[in-house]
Amino acid sequence: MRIVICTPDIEYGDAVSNDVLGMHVAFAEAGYSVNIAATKCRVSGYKVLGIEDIKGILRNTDDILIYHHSVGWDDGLEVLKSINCIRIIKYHNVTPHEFFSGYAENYTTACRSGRMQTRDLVEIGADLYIGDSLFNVSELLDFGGEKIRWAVIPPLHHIDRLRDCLIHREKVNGINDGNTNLIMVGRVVPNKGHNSLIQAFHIYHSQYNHQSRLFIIGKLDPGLAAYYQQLENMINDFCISNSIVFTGVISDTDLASYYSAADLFVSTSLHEGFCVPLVEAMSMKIPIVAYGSSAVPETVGDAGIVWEECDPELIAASINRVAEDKRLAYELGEAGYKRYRTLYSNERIKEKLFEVLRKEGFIKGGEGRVIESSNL
Amino acid sequence: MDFMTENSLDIEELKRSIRKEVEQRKLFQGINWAGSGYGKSKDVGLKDLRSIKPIEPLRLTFASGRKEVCSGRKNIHLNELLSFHDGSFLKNAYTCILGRGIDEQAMGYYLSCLREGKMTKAEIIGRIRYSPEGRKKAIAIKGLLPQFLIHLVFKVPVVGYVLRLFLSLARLPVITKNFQITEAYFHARSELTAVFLEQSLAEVQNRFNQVTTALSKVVNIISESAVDRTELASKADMKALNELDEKKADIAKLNEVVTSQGEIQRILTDISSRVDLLNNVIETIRKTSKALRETQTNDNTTTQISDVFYASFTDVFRGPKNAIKERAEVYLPHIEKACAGKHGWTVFDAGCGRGEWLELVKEKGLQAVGIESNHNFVEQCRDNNLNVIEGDAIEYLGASPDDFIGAVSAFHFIEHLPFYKLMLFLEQVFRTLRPGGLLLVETPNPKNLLVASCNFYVDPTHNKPLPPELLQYTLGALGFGIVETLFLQPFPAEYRFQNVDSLAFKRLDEAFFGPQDYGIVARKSEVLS
Repeated sequence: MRIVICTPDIEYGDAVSNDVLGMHVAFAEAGYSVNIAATKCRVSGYKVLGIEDIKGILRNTDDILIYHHSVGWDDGLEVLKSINCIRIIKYHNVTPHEFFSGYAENYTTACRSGRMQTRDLVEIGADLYIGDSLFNVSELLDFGGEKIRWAVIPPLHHIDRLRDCLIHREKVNGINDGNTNLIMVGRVVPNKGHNSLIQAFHIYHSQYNHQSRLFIIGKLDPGLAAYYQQLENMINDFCISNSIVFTGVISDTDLASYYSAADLFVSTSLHEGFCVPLVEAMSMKIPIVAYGSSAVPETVGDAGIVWEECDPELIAASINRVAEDKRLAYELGEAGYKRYRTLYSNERIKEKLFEVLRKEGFIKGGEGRVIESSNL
Repeated sequence: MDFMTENSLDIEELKRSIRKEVEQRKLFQGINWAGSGYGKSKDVGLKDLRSIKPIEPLRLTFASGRKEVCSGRKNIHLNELLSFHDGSFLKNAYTCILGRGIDEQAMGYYLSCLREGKMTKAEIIGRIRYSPEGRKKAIAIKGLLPQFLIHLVFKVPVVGYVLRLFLSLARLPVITKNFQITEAYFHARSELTAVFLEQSLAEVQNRFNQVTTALSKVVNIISESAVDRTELASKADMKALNELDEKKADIAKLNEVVTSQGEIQRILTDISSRVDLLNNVIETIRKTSKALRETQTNDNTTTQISDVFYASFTDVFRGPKNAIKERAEVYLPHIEKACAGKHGWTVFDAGCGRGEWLELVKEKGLQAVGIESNHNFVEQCRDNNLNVIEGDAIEYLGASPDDFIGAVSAFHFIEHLPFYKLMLFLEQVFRTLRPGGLLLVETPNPKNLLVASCNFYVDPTHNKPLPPELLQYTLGALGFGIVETLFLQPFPAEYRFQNVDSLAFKRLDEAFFGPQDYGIVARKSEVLS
């Protein structure tokens, strides 16, 4: 039995790519013959097959194709439709195109076609649909897939690597200068709700604590200049440009350093299929204050302050409460870490993945047969 | 604190308490807003006031009763669109045909055509659908084309009229039916409106009652606290009177003892009179030495000049208010760039005088507070609705928290201070300015010889001219960064040397008729760069 995991694009620091690579490691470690197929791969150290090679490898009906869906991908869909083996679709959610309209036409189109393909993917009737969260699964069911077989498995992630990183002591000392440090991690895109985040920070900074700072960590995209201009105008109008830092893409070492110096993780994201950075924060025992849109309440559970409404006043007051009350901050941090250990550690997620595949009868017993060496 | 105890986290309870805090904050933002304050006020009964439940904001929405025709559909029947009226008809037509909201201009135009009977609904739909934008979207509207064409023919003179007449006659039954439908629709709407108004009125009445109850509670609390205060005061008075009586009795007893010992008393009187004499001599010496010291430091000139005198003096010598205001405009861009006067980062004007600068800042919609020790100036400012505190700027800044002020201005203020006070003032400014905050100072320019030798001393309260180099150095030593030094108000052209060719003449011209004032814009550096 052979396994191929496919995704259009493998990129450094991207949650879907981390899930793909994590699955590859998990199957390889368990002794399965496993390959990754993608159109583009920007991460070194992996041998990646082209999409056209998939049919040559998966010749038997008990072979498995795991298709990761997060954007529109016509070539992938064609392969999926025509291949005769076990087909599993991992749904990471597709950002609704409305978030990008008015900012970037190409993203709007890509997201629109991605969401249309979700419908196609439901219609082809794969053998199993896996959602990162119940929120994602419920979307699949809404697309008319009441009869589909489904399971919830959180995405595998790079947190172990992050936790093992030696932190950058000088950087941490530079940030730990008596200011209250808030962080938000994730690509700087409109669906992450930076407007509300900046408003909440402005309220906190001007009404509760002048000695505070917000780090917005994540990739900045030249295609979203209009969105960034809007954020910049807002920041200038609030006169808080000296207290907000956009870091852009940073290394794992730097990310670990920011986490170790952060007092709070704040998210006002408007659309998340799972939100791995929340789990990163939990693993680092950073208290979380968030607006509970989409999958956020499910991911955070009782391990953070999650609001049903996106009210910057409430977010600001919550930040202040946690920043002021050290005991509360400690308890939230501990609750987050406990949640991470019991639900979201890579070991726990791998266990769940194999458990689901066994239950569905796609794999047998514990160990797979070693046919060829790992691609690592 | 022992952190290792059992986890006692109740998120729901926590959220409830945060929500309550935010609600109270919102309610009291006008009364006790920490962001704008200079120190917290200790209102009596504030705790009780806070216990009054916040009144929910009133939200009345009138259901439109009709759902919109779904935008994004490729096929629509004309009648679906025609079933809407007036503004909602136009909005719906735009959403369905063009897939966007209607702009204000188009709304105004079509609405007036519709209401004045210049165009029919079908005609408007036709115009939208067959506009260049509409053609691009290419939404199919069943039954539109014939209707639209007929309406276009109506516009042809004579033929249009005849055709219209003929068609109207032929469609009379349909028109009558439509009229009945419309009539019924409007009856239904007016019914709904009546019900809505009734409900709203009841709700408003209810809210009004709530407000009245809350208000009466507030009045009670305030009057109770006032009663408490008078009771306390009268109790304190009684106690003091009793103590005084006791003291009087003691003195009387003492006198009795003293008079009974006549001889001793005489001696004592003699000694005490001598001691008094000595005391007087000591007091005179102390006074003389103090007066001497004060003359030396020349520090108390201001106290010898009355507020009224100085106010009228300023009116004569400082120049008309409008001219001063105009001159100060040069500082506005700096203030705006530093975001001072917004979001609680107040502009603080030390020695605001007649309030020219305050007025200018206020006109720009920025928040500013002045401080002035001259009572007449304070009154003038308050008559102009300016926010002014009567008092000493240094003392006031001394009592303010760190990093709190957006900008401090001190125009023609520092030359009134002896140097040690100037240092004190600048230290306090540096402490109270927020990182990135500005200090604007303006003072007479002693590099102009006429200013240094004469004009400076026209104001009897001036202390000593401050050369720009001295002020720049002092500011730098205290940690300020100099943004700009501005040389201002040179003498008018008619005073200047004409045909200045040689360098020597240029220098002379500059020394006599060059800038009479100079200003420095200094900045407290940021914590973060």
